[in-house]
Amino acid sequence: MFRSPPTLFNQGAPFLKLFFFLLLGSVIIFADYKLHATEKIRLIGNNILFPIQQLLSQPGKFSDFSFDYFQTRASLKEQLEEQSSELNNLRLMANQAEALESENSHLRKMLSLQQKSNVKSLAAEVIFSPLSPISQRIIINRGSADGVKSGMPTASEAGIMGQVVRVFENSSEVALLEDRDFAIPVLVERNGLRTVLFGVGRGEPLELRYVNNLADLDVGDHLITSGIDGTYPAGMPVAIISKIDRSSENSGAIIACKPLAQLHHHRHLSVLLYQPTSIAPSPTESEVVKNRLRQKKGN
Amino acid sequence: MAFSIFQLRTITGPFLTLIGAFILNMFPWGNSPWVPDFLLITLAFWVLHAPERINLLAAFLLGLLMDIQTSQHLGVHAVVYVVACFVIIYQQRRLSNVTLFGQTFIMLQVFFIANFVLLLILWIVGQGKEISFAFLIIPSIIEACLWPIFKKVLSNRASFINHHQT
Repeated sequence: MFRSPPTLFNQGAPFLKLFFFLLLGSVIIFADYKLHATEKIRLIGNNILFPIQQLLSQPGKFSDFSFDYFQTRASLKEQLEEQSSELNNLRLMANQAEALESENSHLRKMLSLQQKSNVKSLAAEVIFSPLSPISQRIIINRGSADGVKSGMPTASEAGIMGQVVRVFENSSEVALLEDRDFAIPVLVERNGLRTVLFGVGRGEPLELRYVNNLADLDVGDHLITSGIDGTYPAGMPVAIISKIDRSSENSGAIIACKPLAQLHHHRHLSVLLYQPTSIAPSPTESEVVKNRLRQKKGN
Repeated sequence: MAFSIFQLRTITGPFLTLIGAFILNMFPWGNSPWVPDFLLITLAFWVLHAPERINLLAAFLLGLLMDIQTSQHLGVHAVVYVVACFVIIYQQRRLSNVTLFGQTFIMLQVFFIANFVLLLILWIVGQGKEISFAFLIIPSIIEACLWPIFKKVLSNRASFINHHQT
């Protein structure tokens, strides 16, 4: 049998191949990044990978289950009592809320203001968070088949967690509040001051930008969504101010905030099926682009 | 008959372990710099030990799969894997002439280059998003530490193939 020479001498370093693949790779990256031409491939790939991802997220679930299963009777009883007392409290509050709501809607009608729409929500489960050096995202097990659309806000019981940025058939990708350049319009619950809250990046506190140095803000102030952009329903809790630095060197105060929802320790969250209801006409595409360009120049 | 079984194993050996490494990557490890890229290590092993079967094309395709998994821009990991595999092919002679310790040290550089290229592309594409440098150093070191283990485990599978080659 013919023996070919060892591969060491057979082929040199494949410079030509490297060049070809680098070129192909950059073309694909460009097609994805600028033209969004590869969504179809991603959709197909995700459909293949999703069952495996879901299967692999099972061990965590199983450990939760076994932990629940082996709880003692005493602790269960205690829990039950706690929950029933809490339920009573909640019922009381719900009654009050109902009364307030009817009163509120009446007043709103009188003022001929826009009715706040009731937000429906969809429970979802976190499958995993993809490994990425630049973004903070999670994959949830609800997709276009369940009525999730790109741009919908997600929240836990404590507050807003993020926004759906990419939708597949049975899963979707959520950008967390912490994601860099994530922006959400908020107002200070105490005095109604309107600002915008920005994500800074991995593990860093959120930041209130473009706030006057003398603005009436205190550590511990709660921030809620203002609903101005029409993306988030108004009045949802978002974050709490944790630190204020009013040094004279900066033109504005540096204000650090802590999200109220625990972004990394939740297995369950709800997608708010919120249809934007803004009174103001939505800006045209060209205006959005102009604004972006202006922002870039500002930076 | 024996010949056909031999052929089957030469193809499935690398293929199965690469798929296994990819599934290992798919576990919900979370998003932290302490998570190594198991697929990169396995790919590096096969490119070094069976370059005529696992070449740059395989690296490119697996990279695309990895991009879908990590929901990165399509092609980012593909380029990273191609560059890493090229460096290994380029250094093949050096890599096969040193002790395991020396090899691990060279592999540290290879993984470092791979993670550097990854961050570089994400920096270019990410429009000035801040990049944490923990993602450059920590995964490289962990991947290099895993290299001897992966080499040991995968060599058991590869011994059959290499035996027939030489």
